[in-house]
Amino acid sequence: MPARVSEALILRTYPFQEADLIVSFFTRDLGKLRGVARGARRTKSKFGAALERLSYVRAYYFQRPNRELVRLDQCELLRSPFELQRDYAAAVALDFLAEVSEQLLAPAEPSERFFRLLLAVIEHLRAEAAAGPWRAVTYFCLWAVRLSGFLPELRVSPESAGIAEEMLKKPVGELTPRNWSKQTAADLRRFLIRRIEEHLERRLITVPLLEAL
Amino acid sequence: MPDFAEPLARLIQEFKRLPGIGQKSAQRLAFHVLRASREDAERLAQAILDVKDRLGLCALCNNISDSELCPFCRNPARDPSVICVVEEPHNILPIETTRQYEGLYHVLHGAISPLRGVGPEQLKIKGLLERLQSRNVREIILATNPTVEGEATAAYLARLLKPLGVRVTRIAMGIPVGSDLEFADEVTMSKSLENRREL
Repeated sequence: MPARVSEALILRTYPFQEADLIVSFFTRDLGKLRGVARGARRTKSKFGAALERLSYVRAYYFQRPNRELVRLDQCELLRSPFELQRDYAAAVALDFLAEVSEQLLAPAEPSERFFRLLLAVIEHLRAEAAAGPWRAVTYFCLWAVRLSGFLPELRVSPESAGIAEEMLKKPVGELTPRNWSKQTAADLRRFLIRRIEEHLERRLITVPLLEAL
Repeated sequence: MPDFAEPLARLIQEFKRLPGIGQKSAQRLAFHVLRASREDAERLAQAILDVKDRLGLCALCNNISDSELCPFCRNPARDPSVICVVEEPHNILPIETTRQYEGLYHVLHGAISPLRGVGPEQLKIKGLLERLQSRNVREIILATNPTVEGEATAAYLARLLKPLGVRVTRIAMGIPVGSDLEFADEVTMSKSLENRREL
């Protein structure tokens, strides 16, 4: 019987021992946790596709006091971003979301709003795959910075400032329709990414590939 | 940790650097080497050195090889018009065990993974494009792993290769033989349905 059950988003996995994975996952109720998924790399693993990056799962796990790593017993897949991988731009954007979340979220600190932000942005990427990832990425950057508590005064063009103002008032799916390209609010996106990198005191490794799209 | 004699401690330390080997396993391996005959130990050391000294990459497909071309690329019986693209050299073995595939291979040496800082430039894609231009290739089979990285790599390659007029296919994904549908997740099941075939 697992000790805990949480809704979670898988942020990242690392190979561990012969067929195991270390999993960093963001739970709705307990924040970011890390755990070991035994046998997860085997073909007939009970985890199946549930441990792929940004899968939305119901995680069953056992947490021992004073142990950093929990034991992941089972992950029931609720929504998978796997189909989005067919779109290279969306795949790079998803990696960017996962990296920023993994870096910004403090261990074991719940953030319901950040959890809902990630779900909403992934859903938007899925629904608007043909429109490209730029609106979702910019929206995510703005809200990630705001929810992390270091949103500065936006020193961007008036057009981008207007977009940011709207983004802070409306859900991503209800923004005014416009033809988003890589250039749309690019100054706002880059400004926010720079703030994130300054806050983390390190470069985000997914950014060069994102900007190369 | 007990104090071992310096050479033994060094050997344990070296074994510990191997993937999947912890302190206990490293000690077991080191004591096995210690108890083995000198000839056995020399054979092991020589095998490790040979791997480093005598192996390189096949000039055509990037598979690991002890000569300019790997055994697959050297074999005139293989069909050069079909190329199976895999992530790593060890991915060739499971395909060969089927004894059904008679084409050639191309090893990318990785998969696109922005999270790990691996982009298309870090993979051996240029050589694949050169093979397409210089040889009569009619089909490319994308056999990258069924993971998000493998799928992103396949999507990237498909976008790159299709305009060149070559048939691009992806290996099927679905339920493993011997497993139970009851335990299949949403992605695996939907891939199985998508890749179903007529009997």
